[in-house]
Amino acid sequence: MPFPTSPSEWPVVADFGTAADLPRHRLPLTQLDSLASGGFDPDALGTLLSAERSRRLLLLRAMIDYARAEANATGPLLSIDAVWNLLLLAEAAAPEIVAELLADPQTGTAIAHTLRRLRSVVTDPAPLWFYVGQLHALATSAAIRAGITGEMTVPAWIGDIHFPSLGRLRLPVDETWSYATVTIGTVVHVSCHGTTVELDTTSDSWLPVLTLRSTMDSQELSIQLDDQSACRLLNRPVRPEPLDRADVRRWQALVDDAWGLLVSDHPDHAKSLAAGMRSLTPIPAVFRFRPHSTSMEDGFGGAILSEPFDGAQLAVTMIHEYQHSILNGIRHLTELVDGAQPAIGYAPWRHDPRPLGALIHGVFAFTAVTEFWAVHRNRLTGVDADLADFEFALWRDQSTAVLESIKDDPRLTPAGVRVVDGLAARLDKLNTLPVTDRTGTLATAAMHDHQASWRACHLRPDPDQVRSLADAWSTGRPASSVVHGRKPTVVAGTPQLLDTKAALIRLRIAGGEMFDRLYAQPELVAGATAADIAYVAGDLASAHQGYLAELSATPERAGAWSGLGLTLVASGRHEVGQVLLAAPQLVRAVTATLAEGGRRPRPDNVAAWLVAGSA
Amino acid sequence: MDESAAEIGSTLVDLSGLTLATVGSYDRKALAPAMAPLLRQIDVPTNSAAGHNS
Repeated sequence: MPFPTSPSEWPVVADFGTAADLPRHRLPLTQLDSLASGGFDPDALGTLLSAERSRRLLLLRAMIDYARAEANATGPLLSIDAVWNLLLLAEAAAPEIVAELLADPQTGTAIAHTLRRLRSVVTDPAPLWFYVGQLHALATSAAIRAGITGEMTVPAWIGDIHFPSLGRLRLPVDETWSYATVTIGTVVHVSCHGTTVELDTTSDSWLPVLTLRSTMDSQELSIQLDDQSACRLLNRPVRPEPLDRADVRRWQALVDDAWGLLVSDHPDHAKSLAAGMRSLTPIPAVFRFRPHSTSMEDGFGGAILSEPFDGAQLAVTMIHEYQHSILNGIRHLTELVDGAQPAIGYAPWRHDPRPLGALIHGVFAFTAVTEFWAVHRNRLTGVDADLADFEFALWRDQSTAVLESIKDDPRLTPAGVRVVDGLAARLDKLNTLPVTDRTGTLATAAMHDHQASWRACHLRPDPDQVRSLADAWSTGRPASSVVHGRKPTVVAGTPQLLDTKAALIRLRIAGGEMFDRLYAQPELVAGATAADIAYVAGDLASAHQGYLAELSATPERAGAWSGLGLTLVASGRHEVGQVLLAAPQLVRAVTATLAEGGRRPRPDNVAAWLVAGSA
Repeated sequence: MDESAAEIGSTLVDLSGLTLATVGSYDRKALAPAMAPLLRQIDVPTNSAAGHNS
């Protein structure tokens, strides 16, 4: 039975004159404050989820409108009107199923990406109809689950056909982009390129959607582990990468461990995550101390993350990425920043300069991360406690520093001010908590290292000041003879890892033989050099010589400038080291200018000369 | 932003309790002003630049 496809058959159940007549969402200030406080407020979360649903429906409607206006939007698939009508039928039969499918994070990212393609904002290798066809697939899944009979076409990618919330069917089709006809009745048949199969969820060609569940003290977490949908990563389609049974067992164990921690030690986060976190997209495990995780603005409740080292890492990563969903939810109701946002801000958790809105995102997420470690470190002993203490101290101090840099920014809207005020109150509380001397010192070093290497990488000093200083050096005059220059400008410097020493410090705290292996194999930690390893190991003489050699051969390596500064401070040459940490871009530029004239001085000598000139 | 003493008024259209059928029945031109800010948001999502939105 074909589905009705004529727009004239659509029910008209609402009529209004202009957009001004439509009701709008409202965000009570008490709810905004409770969201900024980090606590669990079911009413506030309900407001966000309701707004996300409205936003999703509006974007879906926009996608339908754009697809109708685009001549070849559906390619070989049935028309957009056909799929819309199927969705309406499914909704009429089983509204809860359609609501669940629409709320899926991947549905949000698929709709947003399809709209960007329809509006020619982005390009990627897949044909447009493959993305539009994600709606065909969603409607087909809804129809199957709702018990509706009929036919629909869905996209196939080298024989892979995804049925959202159900699973993936693999057919022996070599063509890259094709389609299948799905006939839904008491059984479901799928036809593609002359092959027709009955949908059999027990066959080897079927890969079911994975849902992990965990229960602790009667609180349940149910979360999809998405290894198959095409829009589960950012900005490009990806083929299914099925987890094997051992993978799934590991993930289940990680979720169990994380959920146990969250329910027992972080009950507010547990309640909020249970209500709003919906899916995890796994990517392969990476080095323990450089886990990857990402969230998507258009996919509330979703996260992409590398397989965590342990349950604590999963718990804190879920908290982290979910905070981004929460803040995006707030932003979808009211802007936090008004005005231009050039990407010039310092973000200690990134390698690149960031705009103001992203800095708020970072502080929002890392304040919650800091709160996690503040509690979690108390249940640990030995090196595990030291590592947790380090994470606590590092994220607290970095979040505090960034908050300090943005809290008085005139571009903050009244809502932005309230969010920032809420974060300030939380950080004030965290700043009263003690840290052990050792981990505090290490965290400070890691913080200074990132700041200084970021400056060396992305700041460019006033060129007039640099020339004048180079002239003064060459003619034997003190640096004090040169007037201060203009503020340095921020540029997007050559991308490079700025967290290498922080990773090495964590490895050093963790102990074990891996750190010792680094002497022979520094590449075990990406970006690490022999000088970095020597510094972290406390071999300051080797670090000093190593950094000087690096800066002679590869002065563009930002971590060598910060490393030299840290080494000098640790060696007792505080003032000289501080110049390198505070203004590595200036020492670098003066040294480079002098090198152009064939007189490359030692950077620490230039730094010492700048110190003498400022005395 | 319309901010009263107790709440912030959003520009986001509230479709609470409405079905897809209702959303589909709205006049496209009348919806356009409400759509415009959403389309601007998705054109430059906070996640898209480098894969991490912190």
